Amino acid sequence: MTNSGYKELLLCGLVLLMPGLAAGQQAAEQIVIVKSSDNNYFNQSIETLIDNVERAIKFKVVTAQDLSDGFEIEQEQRIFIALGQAAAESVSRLGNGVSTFNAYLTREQAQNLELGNQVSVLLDQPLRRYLAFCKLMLMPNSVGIIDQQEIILDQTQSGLLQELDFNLNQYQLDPLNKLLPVLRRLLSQNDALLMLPRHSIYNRDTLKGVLLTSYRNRKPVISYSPAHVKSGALASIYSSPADIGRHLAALVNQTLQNPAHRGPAFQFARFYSISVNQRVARALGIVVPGERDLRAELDRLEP
Amino acid sequence: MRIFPSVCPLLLLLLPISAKAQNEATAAEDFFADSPLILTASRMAKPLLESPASVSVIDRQMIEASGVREIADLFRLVPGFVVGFHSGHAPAVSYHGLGQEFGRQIQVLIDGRSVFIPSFGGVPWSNLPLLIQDIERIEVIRGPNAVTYGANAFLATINIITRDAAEDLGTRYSVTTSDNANPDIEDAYLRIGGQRDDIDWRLSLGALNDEGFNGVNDSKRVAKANFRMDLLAGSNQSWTFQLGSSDSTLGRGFPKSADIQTDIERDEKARNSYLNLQWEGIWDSSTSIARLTHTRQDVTDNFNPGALDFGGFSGVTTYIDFDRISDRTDLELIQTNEISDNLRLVFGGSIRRDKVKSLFLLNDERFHDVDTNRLFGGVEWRFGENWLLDMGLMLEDSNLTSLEESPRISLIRKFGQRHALRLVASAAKRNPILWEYDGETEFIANIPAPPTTVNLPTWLGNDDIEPEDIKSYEVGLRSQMATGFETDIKLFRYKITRQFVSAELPVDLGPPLGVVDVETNVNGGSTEVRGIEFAINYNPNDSVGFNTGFSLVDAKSSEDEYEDSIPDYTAFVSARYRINPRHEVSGAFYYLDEISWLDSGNEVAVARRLDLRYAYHLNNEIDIEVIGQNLLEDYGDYEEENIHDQVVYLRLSGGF
Repeated sequence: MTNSGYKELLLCGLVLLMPGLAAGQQAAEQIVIVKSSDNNYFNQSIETLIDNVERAIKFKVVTAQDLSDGFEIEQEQRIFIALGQAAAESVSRLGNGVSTFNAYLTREQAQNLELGNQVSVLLDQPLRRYLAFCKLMLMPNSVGIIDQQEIILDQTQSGLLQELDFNLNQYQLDPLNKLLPVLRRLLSQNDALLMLPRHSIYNRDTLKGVLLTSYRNRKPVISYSPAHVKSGALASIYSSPADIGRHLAALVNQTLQNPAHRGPAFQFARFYSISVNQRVARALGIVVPGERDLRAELDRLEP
Repeated sequence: MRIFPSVCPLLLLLLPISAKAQNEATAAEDFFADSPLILTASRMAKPLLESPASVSVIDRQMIEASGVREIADLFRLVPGFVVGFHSGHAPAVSYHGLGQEFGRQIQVLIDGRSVFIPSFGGVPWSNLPLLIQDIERIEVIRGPNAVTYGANAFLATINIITRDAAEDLGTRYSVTTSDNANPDIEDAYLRIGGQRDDIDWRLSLGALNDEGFNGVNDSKRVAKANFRMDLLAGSNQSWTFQLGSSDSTLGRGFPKSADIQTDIERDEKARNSYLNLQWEGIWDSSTSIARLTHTRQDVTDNFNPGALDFGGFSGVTTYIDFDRISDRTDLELIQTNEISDNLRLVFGGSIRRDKVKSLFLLNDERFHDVDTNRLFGGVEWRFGENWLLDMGLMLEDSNLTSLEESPRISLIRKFGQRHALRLVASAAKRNPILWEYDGETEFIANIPAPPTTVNLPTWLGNDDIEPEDIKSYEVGLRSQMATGFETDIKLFRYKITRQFVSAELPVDLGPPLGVVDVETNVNGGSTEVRGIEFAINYNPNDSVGFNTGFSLVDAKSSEDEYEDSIPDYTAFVSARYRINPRHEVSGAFYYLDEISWLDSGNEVAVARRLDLRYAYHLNNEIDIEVIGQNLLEDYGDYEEENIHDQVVYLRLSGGF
């Protein structure tokens, strides 16, 4: 065979192989992002996620409604990202064979949904992070929390409480013990209220009463939501849409490098933001530490 | 309630085929929903996105960035609002127009207390017993809101909310001064706040002094004092007690001339005082408010104008007595109940007594009473995940009018969490004030030759007059584009009927004056206004802010003066930027089209105004501000002699 013949053969081979190569290239390079609805915070997370994924990847953004209406899964779309509960439920109905990362779910929601082998990045901060934040903001002797059931502290959490040197008092709601009476009891017995993400307890209808009652009792409120800080809570520690986007990007990068890798089903947010209401702080006579110092201490206490 | 038949077919078209109750925990919204809570539009706290009316909010940051001294100037930051100065101490504020010094078509409240003056109408903006430094925010409802606040909430409602005493602990002061000969500003402010056990209190003292317009006798010297106490009674109940007063000396009148014989230069003294006692209880699924308020205005303005030429006679003498006392006492109860996840209810009532004493307005030395009783109710119903229906009704009865109803219905369709389309239909009445209904103004003229004393009537009220009526429709779209970035656009049309118009009654006074025409008012005018308004607010953080608004209207009226009082367009742009912790700049540009105010015959040309402010924050407690107002060119306002020229003033403020 002449040199030109070999070249022709090579060229033909390449042409024949190219579709296969292209298909192989496509197999790991489509990510579908499913959002429960169209809103600012989902879009911000998507933007941050796309900016932080290291490989050149195609993204497709659809809504949960699109999936319900029969969106076809292409074989190459092996990574799904679901934002919010409706999206998580839609994706879980697609069945096995897709890697899914959920976000914008609280632990309460994630535990109540049947999410199969999906990984959920929780909106909640770990309890130890909330506790450390309370301590650094307020130096309290005791902090109260309200929940439907008692939280059993694990060894790490108990140890942290000892190190932080304050008491965490728990108060439960039931049909006989309604929110405001329980809150009043909490405020009379503690230095602050720590609001944990519990929609059944803290929602549009109860929020004003909770914040107003706490404020008028001169007790600061540490919350899980920056929106509450605007309304009158002293401070919040939370994962912003950009923080969530960064965490999702880290998971995607990990999966793209090692498709067989699976982390724990529930992951607390790795990145966090802090919001403080200075006017409330002044009104309550609280001197708030600077954010840099806060973060340094938080990272030390809760590595 | 004629408004409902025309709205109901539209509602049927918009109802969803299947309704689905909202029961899914919306965790993301709990964390990130960023709508400020507002209360004014329907007395129920709700996010701005779900407001059943067009609402503009002027917050503390906007107030500080504006650098203004007069509270009335703040309303230039609301789309469609028109602000003018009848004199240096007499601003007029109106929505779209139909404005005058003693405007009667906007309800103005301070912490829920009406500050409308029942004797002659209007709001004494410059000598309200309220200091601009104590204002937390102002909510403005653009459109009729009688369903919530009764008569006079006709074109718009302004609710000024002051800060809780707990937020003002410590001491704060400021002094403001200008280098100009006019208006020669000298203002001062001192606030002391404290706390003891469950009681927070605040005492604010202030003075506003300036010489007004150049060449006009409109100086003002106003001293104000306010006291507020908030008491926690049990952990779910609170009491708020507020007391305040302002004493003012205001220049009025003009140099005596052939044209000006009675409105001569003099000083008017006024005292405005108030009391506000409120109890609030927050229960598991309801809120109760009881409020007792009292507002009093006492004006002393009486003088001898000297010899006059009148009716062909010279050397006529008289005595002018514009003194007047107005009292308004109001007891109001409001109850809000959460019936279910989808249904909220508000209802309540009030009894009000207005007392007016004025020889000038009522030709009487005794107090005249007007009693008004009101019942109101509203329901907010969420049907389907994205639908919200808000309906309300006000029933009002007074001894000047028969039982009246003012309804409103609002349908909101949300698109995700960022957009809300609203359809609003509302009706309202504007009751006559006592002077329009039963007023009797006359002067006693002493004619020297032949020696005669004549009672000369100049105004007669009309006890057959019926309330003005307005029907309003609007379609609006409110969007939250991103965090701190909101837009609102609305198309609207409203028609006012049975408008009060001047008429003349011939009255035979006998010799020597014979028959004279006495002014009165009758129902006879109508005005229709349609237009478009938009607002953009971009306030992503404490360092940057941008707000703009625009209003374009087309008005047609049976009365030329009404049509001429409605400018075709108004606009404003305001911005602030904190360069670093020490330096901040802000500015605003205002545009007002040609206008003729109702109580002036003068057509005012287009007005453009640029204000700039630079603030230097020395440390956490001391601020130095340089504020320049109207930096572009002089412009006229209201009357020919009212010329706004450039004003620069310095403000030093601090606290500890």
